[in-house]
Amino acid sequence: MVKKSTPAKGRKKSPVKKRRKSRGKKRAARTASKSSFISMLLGLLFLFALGGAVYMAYLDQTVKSKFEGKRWAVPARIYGRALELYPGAPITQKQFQAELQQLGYRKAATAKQPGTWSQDRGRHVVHTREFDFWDGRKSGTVLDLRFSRNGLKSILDRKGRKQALARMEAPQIGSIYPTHKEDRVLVQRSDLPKMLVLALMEVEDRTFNTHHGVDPKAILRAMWANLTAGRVVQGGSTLTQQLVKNFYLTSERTLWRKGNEALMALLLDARYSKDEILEAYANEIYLGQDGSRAIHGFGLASHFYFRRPLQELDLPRLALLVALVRGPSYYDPYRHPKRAKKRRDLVLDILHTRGVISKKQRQAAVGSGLGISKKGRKVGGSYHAFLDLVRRQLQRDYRQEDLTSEGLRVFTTLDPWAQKQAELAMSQRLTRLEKGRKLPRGKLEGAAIIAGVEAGEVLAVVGGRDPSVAGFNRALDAIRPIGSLVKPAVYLTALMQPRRYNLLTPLEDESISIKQPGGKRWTPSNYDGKSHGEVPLHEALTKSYNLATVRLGMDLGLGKVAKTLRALGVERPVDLFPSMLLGAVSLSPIEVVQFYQAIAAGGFRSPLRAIREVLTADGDTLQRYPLTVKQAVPAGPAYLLNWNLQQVVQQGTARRLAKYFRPEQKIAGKTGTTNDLRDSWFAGFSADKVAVVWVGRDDNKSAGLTGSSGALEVWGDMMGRVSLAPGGQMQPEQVVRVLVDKNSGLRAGKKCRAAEIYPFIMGTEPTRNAPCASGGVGQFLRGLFE
Amino acid sequence: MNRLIIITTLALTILLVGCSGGSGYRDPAPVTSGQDGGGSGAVVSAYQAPRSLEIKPTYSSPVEELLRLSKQQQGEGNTVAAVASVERALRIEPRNAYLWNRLARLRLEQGQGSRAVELAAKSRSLAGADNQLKADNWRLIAKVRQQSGDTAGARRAVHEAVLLGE
Repeated sequence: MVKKSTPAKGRKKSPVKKRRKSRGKKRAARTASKSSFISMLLGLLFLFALGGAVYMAYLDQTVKSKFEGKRWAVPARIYGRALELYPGAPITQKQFQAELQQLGYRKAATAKQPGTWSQDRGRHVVHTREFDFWDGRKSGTVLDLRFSRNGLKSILDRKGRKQALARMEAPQIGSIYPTHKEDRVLVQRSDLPKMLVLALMEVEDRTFNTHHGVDPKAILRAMWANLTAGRVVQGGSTLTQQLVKNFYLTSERTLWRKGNEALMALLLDARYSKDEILEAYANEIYLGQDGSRAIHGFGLASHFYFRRPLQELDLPRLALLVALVRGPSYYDPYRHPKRAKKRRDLVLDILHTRGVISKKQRQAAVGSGLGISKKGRKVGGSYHAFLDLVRRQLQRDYRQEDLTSEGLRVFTTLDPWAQKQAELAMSQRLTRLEKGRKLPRGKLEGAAIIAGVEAGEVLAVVGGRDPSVAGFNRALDAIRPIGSLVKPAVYLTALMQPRRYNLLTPLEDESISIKQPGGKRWTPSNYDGKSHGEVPLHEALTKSYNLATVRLGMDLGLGKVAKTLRALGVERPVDLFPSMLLGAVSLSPIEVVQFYQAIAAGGFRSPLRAIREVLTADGDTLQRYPLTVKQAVPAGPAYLLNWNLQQVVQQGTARRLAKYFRPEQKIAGKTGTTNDLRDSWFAGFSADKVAVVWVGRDDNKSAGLTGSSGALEVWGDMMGRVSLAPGGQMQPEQVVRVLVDKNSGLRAGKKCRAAEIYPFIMGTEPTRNAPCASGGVGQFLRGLFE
Repeated sequence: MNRLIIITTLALTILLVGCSGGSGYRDPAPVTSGQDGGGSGAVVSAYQAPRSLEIKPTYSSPVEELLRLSKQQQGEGNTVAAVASVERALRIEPRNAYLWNRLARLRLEQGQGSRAVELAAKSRSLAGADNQLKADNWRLIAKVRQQSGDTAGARRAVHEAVLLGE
């Protein structure tokens, strides 16, 4: 860039002068070139500095945004219901212990620490943990629980005072991860156990509290150690550098990247306090892999490896977490337990030599096992099918990114005990059915749902025979003909016209042939191939007679029956063919639950709910899914139908169920079977729970089972293992019960042999006396009823 | 007044348990007929108060505790929490008519009239012999109808309440 000076043209000059001149010229040129060189250099330097500054500013911005912006995408956490404890609660010891196991509580000689429990026969002392419920934070406390055979008898507090009500924390049943499947349980600096922090510093970064983000001495030391060893044996990265490294999603190892990391570490250290950096590190560090889910941070790692919160870890477990920092996959305690133990013991040795722990502590810790949780790392049921339901509901109301990153807390209605029992009943019973009935192995599939009657809360969902498979969710998506499950809607339609129909109205169970809209004739028949002549209405339903039902339905009108179905919550359009009266209506199991919930709740429909509350990460309520009811059908006819459905269990097509339940549990229900035994259904309820089971084959071939021989057995197994409130239905004010002579259908007296009490809508009960009831005691009894 | 209802129902429950000897149904006899909604006006019956109910609200101690909490939350102006506490109580005693009534009252306070009416209807269907509670549900329904301009409907609902001895 230095310019040559050009000689003046046509001018003679003395050589000296010339020389002098030329020398001066040279000097001048040299000076010029020097100064231009300097300015060039300066310019360069300036540019370089500018570039550097811009680059540093860029790095600084990156550091800042990574650190302060959305540092951690925290998936939404899904919780099951919190177990309510109160005197008289129908919770057995076994169930309670299962709950404790689910929550990761440890059995101890005395329950001193939160998350521990002790037992002395029927007495359980539990030290609960602090938990953020939807209605605020509740601190941990000691509960002294006494169980009897019937359930929880009493609750005392630490000082022996009686408690009316307590609850366990809600068990976590799942999370909603973003696509890259990072998961975390955020911890705050103050939550980090002191020993963990000490161990981290001693093992990973001794000068953490004094360096400026990078520790040159440590780097040199590591280089020397690696050089002498001929391989990488030591790392010189500070915790700050390790944290920066985790900000990147790839694990590229170039010099450029290393330099960048060092610069960013310096910036980070300049900008933030040591505590902030440590907290970020504790939440960011990658510590393992659970299938496709990446385990980040000590909080989640503690739950993942030990099934308990970080604060409850002892020395050897904390040491294992610190050991994992160096290589979660290489030291994976599940796959390489020896390697992991060796590394953990090394951590313990370091802590001992640096005087953090005593020799005795070290020895005790080294002598203990890895302490990782066993059994495929899962207890309780599988929640795929239930979570699927929750997810569908959430996706209607929330954006995907909010669900995967905002750390929302979703409180659901799942009852882990009911879920587990439902899963067991399904898989065990289907295997038994295949064996016992010589059906092809492994072909039967099934679905089941349990819900609360009055509030419509979904307690359990089984989407298939193998609940661990998160595949086709039959409970929500298998839309199959419901067969005789539809009949209650037909009979309810009749009972809603009390002037025309009551439970004793005679129906004709005789063959019938109906012209279908297409011109073809439809000729239904009974399951036993016979017709039964004139039968009372209640018997036609109890014994599930097809002919009587079709005749009744045709008299009522298909439109009216469809209207009843709609009122009971069936939203899917129903084709108005006569065959709909026998169940040519296809519904999913969950739709059937809604339909039967309205019946079970005395005509009041509550939309099924799987979610109660959604909270923000800070504990503010974002949304409540409230309890709502709507009167779908009048209470009187609903009660009469319920009475009839109890008869189905006591003496009808569901008699087999009697072996599972006590009579006072007053189970009501209906079997359903479709053509060629393709679908086997049972829908039923107690006073407090309604449940539906479907059994069939995915290829829609014959399952070889009726509703009674298949689904009913699963239902019995399942509901026999969960607590059911006794008592059946509540009699509404519009209903009277009258002793009726079965022969004449008139009021009976004591002398009448074939007499039974039937419920009637008030004003439609028989008023005249039967011949057997005239005078005497009969008169007296009648007086009683009036 | 709520305490009065609780005491009355408790007394009735004890009386009934004593009378029925603990076995299922005893005898029929409701007070009024006519479906809910009160479209056709009430029919006065000669029967005495009904006595046949299967599951009684027992007002167990946890439910009392939650009711107390709910009232406290309501007093603090936090009706959202008050609703959540009643719902929690309903999980323990799903057929306690008084709890459904409480929920209806809270919904009314929140300005959710139609929801309140449905809850009151549910409460009424479970109220059995508790005429005072049934009348309160009718009064709530009357109020909502009045607010929505259905004066005739409101009058009918008030009439139902009066018939129940209010």
